[in-house]
Amino acid sequence: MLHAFFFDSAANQPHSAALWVDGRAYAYGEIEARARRVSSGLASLARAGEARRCLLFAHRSAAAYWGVLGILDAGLAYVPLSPKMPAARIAAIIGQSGAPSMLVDHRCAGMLDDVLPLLENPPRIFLLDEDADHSDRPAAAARLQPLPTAPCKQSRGAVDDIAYVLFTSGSTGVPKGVPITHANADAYINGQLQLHGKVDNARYIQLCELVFDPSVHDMFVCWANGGCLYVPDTVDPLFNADFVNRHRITHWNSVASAAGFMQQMRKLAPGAFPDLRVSLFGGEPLPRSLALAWMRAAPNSRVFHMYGPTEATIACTGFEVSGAFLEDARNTVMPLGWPLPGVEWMIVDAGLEPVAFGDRGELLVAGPQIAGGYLVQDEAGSRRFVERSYPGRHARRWYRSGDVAHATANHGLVFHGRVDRQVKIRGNRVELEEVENVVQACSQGTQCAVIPWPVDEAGRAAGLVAFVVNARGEPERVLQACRRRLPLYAVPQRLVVVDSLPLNANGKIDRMALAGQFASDTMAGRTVDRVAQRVAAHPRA
Amino acid sequence: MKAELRSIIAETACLDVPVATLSDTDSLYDAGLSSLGTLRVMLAIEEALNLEIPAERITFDTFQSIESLASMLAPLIQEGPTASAPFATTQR
Repeated sequence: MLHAFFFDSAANQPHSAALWVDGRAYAYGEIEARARRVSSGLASLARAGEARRCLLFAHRSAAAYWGVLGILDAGLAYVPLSPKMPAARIAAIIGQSGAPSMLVDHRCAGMLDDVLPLLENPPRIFLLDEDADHSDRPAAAARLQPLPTAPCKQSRGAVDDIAYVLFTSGSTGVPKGVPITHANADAYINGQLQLHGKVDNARYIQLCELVFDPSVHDMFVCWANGGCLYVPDTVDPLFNADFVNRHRITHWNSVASAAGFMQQMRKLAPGAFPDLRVSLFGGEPLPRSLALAWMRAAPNSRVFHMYGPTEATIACTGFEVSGAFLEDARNTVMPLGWPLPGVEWMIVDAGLEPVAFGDRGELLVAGPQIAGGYLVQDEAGSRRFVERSYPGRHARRWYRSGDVAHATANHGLVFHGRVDRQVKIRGNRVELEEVENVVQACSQGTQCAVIPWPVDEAGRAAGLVAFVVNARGEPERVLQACRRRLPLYAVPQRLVVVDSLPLNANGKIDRMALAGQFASDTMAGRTVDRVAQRVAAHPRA
Repeated sequence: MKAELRSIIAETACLDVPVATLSDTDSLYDAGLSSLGTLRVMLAIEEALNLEIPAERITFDTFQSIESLASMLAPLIQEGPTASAPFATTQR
């Protein structure tokens, strides 16, 4: 079971530090005691027929972590929410989750006033950090209660139970819930323990929010190794360039963009991070120039590029970046690399037939990490999981990643973009159709197209630009309305009102032409656009 | 100087609120300054002032407020070789 990676270490080393957050360290024993209180409280509330899930609305607090562990120990799945999401999205996730209860920390309680009015059937809400200062309790406080105290019962649950549910961007505008079982997560964590030796006195940084699955890696690989998880106040790369050295962090895990920002903010001087031992980058392409700069800044660290969709649990391939690989200037972007333990892959054509070795096609992945399906089964979702047998492969059930790749003999898999219109904005998965739906609704324009812009030499997009025909209302107003419905990273940075959109020979919106036109217009244009292009340009070393 | 900073921030920072509603000491981070926004503000300042901000002055605290940005920049403008260069924010 996923939480056993924590509780086993807690039994062995109750006095070591497990968590550092909000300016203080917490020992394994202390977190364990808090988590057991949450777990027995939740278990006493359980009623037959209710979904075995619990919402967790907590942000970078100690309570968030004993919340995760307590929910899992109660035999429930945790469904994390982030205060960085707009209220409408939080409400949509709460509704879809079907969870009867929510745990909230003091930091997030204030946002409940915006969220609760949007819900038809609000869950029971319990305050996690019962000893925090409640002087500025929100109006929703009337609904908040402490968890009931109940005698501790032994752990419940089976490996095929759901451990967590995360929500990804859905092209129709409705977030898609991905339930991951203990068996899925255990397979991943055990693979990591097999690949990476234990580092004594390991200090892992938690950059990723709990609503994204690299956070599961940080928490449970750290705790399985008896390390201490360091949670900075903010994900800001400038803040964390300093935080890493102040706390002598040994394990780094972030999207490539976070390192890219540090490079552009001139924080990757040679030898800048001498304590780092392992650095993982995922979520988007890792360019050679950035990998080189990181290896110089963290000369004692192994560097890995990790790849994997949420549906395949955290990561399913990895590539260890070597000095020799970087020496060859033709290797402009790090490959996806080799399958992690237990993972199988196949590259197929549109008819799901295998392509010849070395040819491009859609990447399928299989193995014990693959999710059982989406929370809400619809036709489009169920097409992503296919039953097939392939020669030389054991798996029968495959997940269609939607990523285009080709296989190489020396560096494993190499990424070539998407079969659909999903993009990564600073490592965050965004379906452009979803953004277009929202922009269309907020602007009431007759036509709308959203493109990633600016895009750097490795194909990474820093943001989005929306083009609308016949928009009603000021662009700034429209974007503000979008901010209330989309996660911040999915909100276009600019909205351009146009008379018409370029069409291709088939009469469809020609997004390539649109991007080209926009790029040439902005070269001569406003400061903001020239600066945005420098953001994407090759950074100074 | 602060007026120029305000115009740079208005154009590049993508804050949640209009810059005019912020005082010189209000937190830009609380107003929604993202890491991407920080980078854009930094590059725009360098372009407008025609200078390069030394790495050690680029810190989280520097971007805390208009006040902290101004006090970081003040010595650079006095010392810098481009001290007499005119402000060139609005090349449209």
